Amino acid sequence: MTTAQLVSSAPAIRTTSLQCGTYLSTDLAATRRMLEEVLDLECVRYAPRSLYVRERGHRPGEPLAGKPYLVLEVHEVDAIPNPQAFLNHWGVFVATQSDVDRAYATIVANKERYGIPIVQKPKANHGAYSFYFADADSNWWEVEHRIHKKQYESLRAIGDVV
Amino acid sequence: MTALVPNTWLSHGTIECKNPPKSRRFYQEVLGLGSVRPLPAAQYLWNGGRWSLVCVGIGVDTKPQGPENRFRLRVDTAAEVEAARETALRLQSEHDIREIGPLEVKAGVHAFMLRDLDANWWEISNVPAEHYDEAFLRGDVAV
Repeated sequence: MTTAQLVSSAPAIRTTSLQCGTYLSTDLAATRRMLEEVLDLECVRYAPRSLYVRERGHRPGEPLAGKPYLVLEVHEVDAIPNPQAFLNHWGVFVATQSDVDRAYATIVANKERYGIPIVQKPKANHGAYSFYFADADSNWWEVEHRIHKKQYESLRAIGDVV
Repeated sequence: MTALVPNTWLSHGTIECKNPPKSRRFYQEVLGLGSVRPLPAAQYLWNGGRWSLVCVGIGVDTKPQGPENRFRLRVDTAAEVEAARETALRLQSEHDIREIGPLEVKAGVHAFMLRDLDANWWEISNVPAEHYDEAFLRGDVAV
């Protein structure tokens, strides 16, 4: 790999937030059931074949109200034109390593019910403990826990290591 | 009903790049993302909130993505969207931006998409910050 030095600290485009990521589903109802009943995410069908998805807790009066959040935008299509792979996944965080193990066991036990064809075993990697699974449309998910100094905001504070 | 995996929060998404330092220049200097490189093969990107985008360096050409798998970045105004597109065109050669789409206007939202040096798609738009809050409060549309 070649190197490329950063030459400017002021960005050319002054973006204010990374708002949203998008992906596809061939069965929006099944996708929603998995997101709500398995991963505990909040969904709203904002158009007949489209969902917005976010973590819970951002409604008025809830603990995260007013704080920024990422939205996933899911569109229903008849066929997936570009199947996704392991390195294009979405991650959800859980509070403890034991929660990862519990999540793995419960997803394995319910994978037929939610149309989950692939569930990999948990493993430790770079301060994270996690496992991956794929849905029926090749969208991959990671359920992870990280020790404090390896959590994303901690890493931002530490800065570059390489 | 309690979810099978309760109390989660969305922590990250993931994209691939061929050459982490080169792609990092684009993310940071063009798209305005924060970035940190804790591992040789991974850099973490962010812009607001605790959520990160993990960019994994694979050292070879990436699997091309389609625009249906993209990330949306917000700027404040319609004029800034148009200016951002002009900026992307000006920097296209320097940063190996593969494709820059047309400006589109729908329901008052201005947007354009670009495909970066690693064939990942980005959308830059002025979707209001409150748009999503309002959608969740309105609830499901009738189907």
